[in-house]
Amino acid sequence: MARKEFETLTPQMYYILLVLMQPRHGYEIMNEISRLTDGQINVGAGTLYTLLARFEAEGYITLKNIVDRKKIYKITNAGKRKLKEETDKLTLMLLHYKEVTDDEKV
Amino acid sequence: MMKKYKKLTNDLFNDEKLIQLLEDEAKNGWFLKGTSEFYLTFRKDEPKNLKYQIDYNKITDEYKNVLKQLGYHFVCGYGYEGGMIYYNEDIHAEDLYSDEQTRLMSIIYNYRPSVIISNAFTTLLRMLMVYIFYKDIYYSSYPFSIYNFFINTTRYLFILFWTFSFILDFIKTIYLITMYRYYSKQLNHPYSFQPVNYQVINTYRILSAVDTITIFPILTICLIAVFIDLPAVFYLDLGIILILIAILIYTHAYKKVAIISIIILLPLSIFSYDSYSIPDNKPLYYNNNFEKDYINTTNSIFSRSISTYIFEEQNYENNINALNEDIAEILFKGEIISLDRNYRKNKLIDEYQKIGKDYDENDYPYLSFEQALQNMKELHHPLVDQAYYNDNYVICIKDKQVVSFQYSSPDQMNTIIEYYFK
Repeated sequence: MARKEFETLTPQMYYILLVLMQPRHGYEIMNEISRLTDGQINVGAGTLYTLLARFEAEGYITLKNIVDRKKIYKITNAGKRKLKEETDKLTLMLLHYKEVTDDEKV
Repeated sequence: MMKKYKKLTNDLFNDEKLIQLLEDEAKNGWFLKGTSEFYLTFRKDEPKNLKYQIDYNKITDEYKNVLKQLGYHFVCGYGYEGGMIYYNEDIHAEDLYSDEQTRLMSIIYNYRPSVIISNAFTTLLRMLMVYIFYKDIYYSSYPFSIYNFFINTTRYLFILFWTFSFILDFIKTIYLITMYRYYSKQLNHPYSFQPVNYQVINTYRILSAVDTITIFPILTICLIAVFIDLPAVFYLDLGIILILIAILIYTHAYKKVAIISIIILLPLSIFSYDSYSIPDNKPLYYNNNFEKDYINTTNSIFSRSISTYIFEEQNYENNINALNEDIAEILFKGEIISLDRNYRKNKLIDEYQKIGKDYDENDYPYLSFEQALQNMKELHHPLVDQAYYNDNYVICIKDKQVVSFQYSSPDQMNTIIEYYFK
């Protein structure tokens, strides 16, 4: 079951991994995602903290240190691979989309 | 303050429906105050538009602060899934869960296999407690009779208590497994409808309500019985009482404290039994026919059994003291005769088994007291009037008290005799 969970990343999962390229704590992650996507994508606190725990168990992110009782996380190499994999998938989908819609135009 | 109760029906197990209900009630000025197994409690105030959310994450200081920053206020706990109800005065605030998948992920964390396994373990532990007390009564005289109930009241209460909590824990294990299966199915197939097993949920709800209502009174009675030292309480060791309390605390609240106390207390309690800490036996008050003039209290725990025959003194105060001594004497002789016979019987069975021969009752007849005595050795001990022993049993008499017990070494024999007759 644990394997299946992150077969495809939801937008929330994708952005959490993405913003953790810089070490950040929970509240920062939420704000950064809102800023990055202009409020298009928001991550609920419940979702965020569930995912942080699961990502950590899966080895995608790691606890860097604790400041003021706030846990600061950073993405791991496994996490970066997962993110790359997902980005490749999305790029491919985008390419296919362009190909098909361009064909229609012609 | 005005209060209102609302029954918790099956359809309210759906979080969306519950949230809808809470928000509707808030519009009418009823605000959620608390939840129990069966009811939601509301209090009356000015009508307000509120946003309610149910969260299943583990609460940490950091998480609490984040929720506060987002404007969420804690109301109360909910259900058995570690759910927490929050409200927000800003009805446009971000939902706590952005998608169904992560919500299910955090719920299922409360039913993870390690939780189920640890629950199964406590179920076994409770079964063991039932067995210990059951065994104890089973080996006493007149097991499971009213007569025995009055001697062993505390033990019967403990059996009741542990049987009940065993059943509860067993149902809880089934409940946990059912919920785990339900949520993992739903997590793997988020778009298909999964029927919820309300029977299991409701059985568990009812039982756990009964649990909170009954278990504390029963335990209180048991503890009072122990502390006021009813004649019934012969040897309930402090260690085992502390273990009971510890397990109780474990199941209800402070898990870490309880686990540590169990780990410390369990060996201590076994150790205390091994050092023959047999509390005083007190005379009991029963009618004066021969069968009931003495009480056979066979204590057997951690594979040792000690029989004592305690004579009721008061019945014999008026000129019939001699009778009491006679009965003790008869019993003493009777015990020696049956002890001798059992000893020969066991030996003979062993021999017959080696050569594969069947045995029958006539091969080991009862001998007379004098004949039986010849098969036993006399023990001279300053503390007893008379004592005889064979390879594994000792029987002694002193002042109308007959004590017989099994021993494994001469040292052990002396310790027990000294304990009883000092």
